[in-house]
Amino acid sequence: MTTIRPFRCDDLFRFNNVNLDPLTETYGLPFYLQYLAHWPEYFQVLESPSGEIMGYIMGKAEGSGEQWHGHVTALSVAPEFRRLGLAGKLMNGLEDISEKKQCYFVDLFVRVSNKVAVAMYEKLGYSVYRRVLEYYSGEVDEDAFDMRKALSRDKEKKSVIPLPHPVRPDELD
Amino acid sequence: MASRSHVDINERRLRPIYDCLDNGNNKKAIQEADKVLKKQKDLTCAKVLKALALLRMGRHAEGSSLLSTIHQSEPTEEQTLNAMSICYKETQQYDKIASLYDAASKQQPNNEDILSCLFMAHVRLGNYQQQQRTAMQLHKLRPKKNPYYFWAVMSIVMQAYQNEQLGKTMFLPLAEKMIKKYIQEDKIEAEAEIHLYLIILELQQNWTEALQVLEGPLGAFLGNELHSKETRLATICSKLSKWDRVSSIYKQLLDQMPDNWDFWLKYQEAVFHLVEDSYTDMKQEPSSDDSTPNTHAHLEAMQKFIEDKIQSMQNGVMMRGPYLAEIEFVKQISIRKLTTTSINQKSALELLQEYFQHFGNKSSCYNDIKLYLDLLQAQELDQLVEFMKSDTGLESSDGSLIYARDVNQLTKHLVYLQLTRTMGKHSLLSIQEALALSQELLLRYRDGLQFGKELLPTDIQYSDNYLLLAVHLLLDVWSKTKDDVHLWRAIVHLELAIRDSVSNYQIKLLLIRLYCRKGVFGPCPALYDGMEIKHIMNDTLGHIVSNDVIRLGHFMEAGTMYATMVRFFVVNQKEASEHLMSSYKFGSFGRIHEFVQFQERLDNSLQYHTASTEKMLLELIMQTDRHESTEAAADGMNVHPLTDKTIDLSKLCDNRDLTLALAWDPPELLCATENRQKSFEEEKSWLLLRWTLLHVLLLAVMVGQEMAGVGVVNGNEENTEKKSPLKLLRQRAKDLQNCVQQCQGHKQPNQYHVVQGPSRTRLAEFVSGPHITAVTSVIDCIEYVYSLSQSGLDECPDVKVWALVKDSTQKLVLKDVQGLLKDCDGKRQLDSLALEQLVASVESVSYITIMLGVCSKGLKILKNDWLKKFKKNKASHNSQPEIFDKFNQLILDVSASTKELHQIASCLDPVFSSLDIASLRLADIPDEEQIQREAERLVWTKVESSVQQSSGEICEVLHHKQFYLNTLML
Ligand SMILES: CC(C)(COP(=O)(O)OP(=O)(O)OC[C@H]1O[C@@H](n2cnc3c(N)ncnc32)[C@H](O)[C@@H]1OP(=O)(O)O)[C@@H](O)C(=O)NCCC(=O)NCCS
Repeated sequence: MTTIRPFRCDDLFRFNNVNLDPLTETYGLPFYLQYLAHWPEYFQVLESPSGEIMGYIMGKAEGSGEQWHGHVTALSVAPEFRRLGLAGKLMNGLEDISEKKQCYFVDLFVRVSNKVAVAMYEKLGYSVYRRVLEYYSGEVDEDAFDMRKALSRDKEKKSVIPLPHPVRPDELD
Repeated sequence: MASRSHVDINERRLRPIYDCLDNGNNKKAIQEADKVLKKQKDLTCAKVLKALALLRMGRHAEGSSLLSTIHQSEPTEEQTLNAMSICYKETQQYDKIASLYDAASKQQPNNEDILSCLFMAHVRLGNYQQQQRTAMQLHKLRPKKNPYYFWAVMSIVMQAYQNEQLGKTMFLPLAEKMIKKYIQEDKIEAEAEIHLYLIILELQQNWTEALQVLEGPLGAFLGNELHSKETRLATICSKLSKWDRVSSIYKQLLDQMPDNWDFWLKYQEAVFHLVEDSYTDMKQEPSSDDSTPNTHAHLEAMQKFIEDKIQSMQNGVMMRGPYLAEIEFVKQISIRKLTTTSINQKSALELLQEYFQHFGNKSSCYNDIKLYLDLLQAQELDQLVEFMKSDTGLESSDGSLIYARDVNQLTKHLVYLQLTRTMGKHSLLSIQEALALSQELLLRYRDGLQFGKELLPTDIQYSDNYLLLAVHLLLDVWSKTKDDVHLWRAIVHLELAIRDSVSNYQIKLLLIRLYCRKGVFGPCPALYDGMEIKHIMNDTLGHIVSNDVIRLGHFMEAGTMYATMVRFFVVNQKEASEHLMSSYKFGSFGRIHEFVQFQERLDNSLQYHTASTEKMLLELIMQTDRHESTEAAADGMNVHPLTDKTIDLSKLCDNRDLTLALAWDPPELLCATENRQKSFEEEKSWLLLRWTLLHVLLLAVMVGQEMAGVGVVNGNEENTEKKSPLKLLRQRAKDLQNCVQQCQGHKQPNQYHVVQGPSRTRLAEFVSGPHITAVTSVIDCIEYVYSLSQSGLDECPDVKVWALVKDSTQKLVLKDVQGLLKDCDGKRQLDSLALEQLVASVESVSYITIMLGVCSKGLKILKNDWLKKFKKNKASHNSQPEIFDKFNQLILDVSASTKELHQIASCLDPVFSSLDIASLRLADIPDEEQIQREAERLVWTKVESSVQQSSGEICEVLHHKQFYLNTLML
């Protein structure tokens, strides 16, 4: 059990137990503050009864026309709180908000090697829309899956028909 | 205004300059600008871009003077203004951006863009009054654009935050009135506007009105993401003590989300208020009979609600919320000394046992149960332990080891072990028992690794916490016996474990801690980097290394680490106001005050001030091998010793994350709150001492420059009266001695919890050692030389100042150091205290050298003057004044002490072959003897090379100081 509430600036001082995970990126402050200023409802945090941060989700809504969609920018749950359905809960919340904003779909990028996350997104109804080559730069660049889930507004589920070929990052719209 | 085509031509002409600037080719940018200016003399923007290039090349004087000429001409053209803002942003002259746009808007009062830039310039400065004024101008210009009006309102609210008194009486009522006006005129357009209205009402605690807004037609403007509207409503109702309403809101929310803990807490709070109210009602109506029907009705209803929620999960997903809510209920009943009539009510013990049974296989169960251990008596605690023990199914009665069958069983066993530790059971173990348990857990750890064979390298091994527990037990034994063998064992086990669980930051954290405890910093940078500590973590986690890296004499690494930490804060300060501006743009009014507070917390961060002070002190040690380089280093620092006020300790914020390291010790052993407080006080005293020391040194350097007749430039001195560096130096020297006086309670180093406690500072060494006396003794010399430089050599009284410096410098030389190995009860142990003292002495010698450099600078001038005079009239003066020789002798003496320190440092290099490694042999697990032996050797290699590094770097610094000292001879 958990308290879910909007993320606050001060949480940045306390989210180390979540962010020291190697698959969780710690961004520069402007990045977080921009999300807080612009899409506050898309930035939610989970707190345990003893007051620790258990995980958080950060996202936004963008795009025009049929590309109007919710996007998951970051999702992470601290190791000791995994497999409790928390990530699922955060994703549901983000989907709800995106439904209210009448988005067509929700999408996200995930490292192809991140089997845990890919499996989780699949369980939550997401599918691979396309592969993005060398999306993650690092010592060795890595590809990303662009995964999507259609929302109710996209009745024919057009948004999730997979692309046959991988794309390069500069081809992303 | 120029015609459109005109603008296009200009744009085309300027493009090459922009391109060069973007590519970082500043020289070419200047050439391009000159080219354009030849064709078109009056193209102001080209001049600005030239100035920008000059600034970026470091040609500040030229760039600034060009800019200020343009500034005076009060430009209004958009591109020019833009470019000038960039120049001012890069040089952090934010006030000039405001004055620039202010002048422009006076020229063109109807230019919306200019006004809106002016507004943002005031946002950057946090000048709320001017913000308000400008927003109103914008509103008058574009009355139909709502945001401008609400910018003004928000600016008024910010003034209310700034001045609470006036806020209540003036600003908030005004802001409220302004919004009411819009409501009455039916001009409200956006959700943000209603949000702002609610903020204003809430700040005035006008809950009745806030409730009306939420429930009235205006409430329709508000979105309801994640039930934000209901929870807001409930909050307002609780302010109005409408507990009935609150309880029903949360009940409804819990129907949808029975696992939301916050909802449970608030629901229970509301019901307990209802219970209290019904008691008071009863007292007022004594006619009713003795029983307390209402009270019980409320409690029973709540109990039933909880039970129903638990029942409804029986066939579905098990959620922890309702179960924990039941335990919380029991806790509240007992705190409030209420009774329930229900016969079904289980005891806290039963509930906790049940909870463990259901959820023990989730690691978070530990934290949940820990919250409620207080509810149990000693005997019940034992019962709980027994219950958990048998429930895990892994504790046999005949002492044989039963290993976990799967991850669930393993996790449950870990939760049980962690809880028993928290109950204090491990403190009761004898040394033998503790070692035996540690051994058992290591075996369980090894066995448990089989479950993690398929894990990705980014995952953490399921059984790692067995290892951490085993290591904590070893550390318990280490604390009790003081025998380092246990600590080295702990380190070896951790080093082995990290190979199987490369992503486990807990292991890295603990390794850093333990290595530092033994004076070994060498392996820490790699571990620290391995945790990928960056951005805001520099603030919250920098403390893991920042005290130790310098304490243990890893000067180079210290320089790198402090620079990284400081960079985070400085970069952030430059960007901070961007988010404020976007909040105004997006109408995120709720964030604005939060952002301002957040920025203050960063600006006042203890870590920031410590790291930047240490960084500068370090530069004075590292970048100085002659006095000119000292002066250059001092000039390059962003401090203004003549005008800076003493650092205000009361404003400092402790942003350190001190709970990251896992520790399952009982709260009374962890002392988390006390330790934080104690360490914060220690850190503040230490910072003040170091800050003052830094200022003493910088002022001393200024005195030297003054004696040489160099005008001392310092900050914007435009209208500050001329201050005397010497006078201030005297003041700061007194401050320094006061610091030491006030720290007499810190003569012994503080001890904090081994695993989770903060790291200590070097305050004890500096307060009890010879350092401050040595440094202040040279201040007297500087004063003396200064007075000579004023009065001339003819009045040259014989003083003892030189002798004092000699004596106190000699005291810096450590006595009886034979390497870092000490014999303790027949065992050879590594003792890092000598290293710490040596590093401190090296620092002090460096500071003394700098101040002697100041003396030398003054004396050299005197000597030159004397020589000139001497040549003129040979007859009268034939013997050189004594003072020059005396000074030279002092330099030789200090140099001799430096050599002795050098000698000691080069002897530090430990000869570990002489260490009886057999005594450390870790035949914990026979099968693994080979691997452990190898790991052990690896650890020793790390220790050796770390100490070599410390010793090498110390020698290097001392070497430079000897060179420096040589240049000071007259
Ligand atoms: C991915 C992550 C967010 C999952 O968080 P979580 O709270 O443990 O996930 P949930 O409990 O909600 O899992 C939902 C479902 O996903 C699947 N899943 C989650 N973790 C899994 C794992 N380790 N192995 C297999 N399946 C898993 C399961 O099907 C699970 O449902 P179940 O427990 O009922 O079987 C978490 O592992 C994490 O923070 N990882 C590091 C950061 C990261 O990779 N983020 C994603 C970047 S795009």
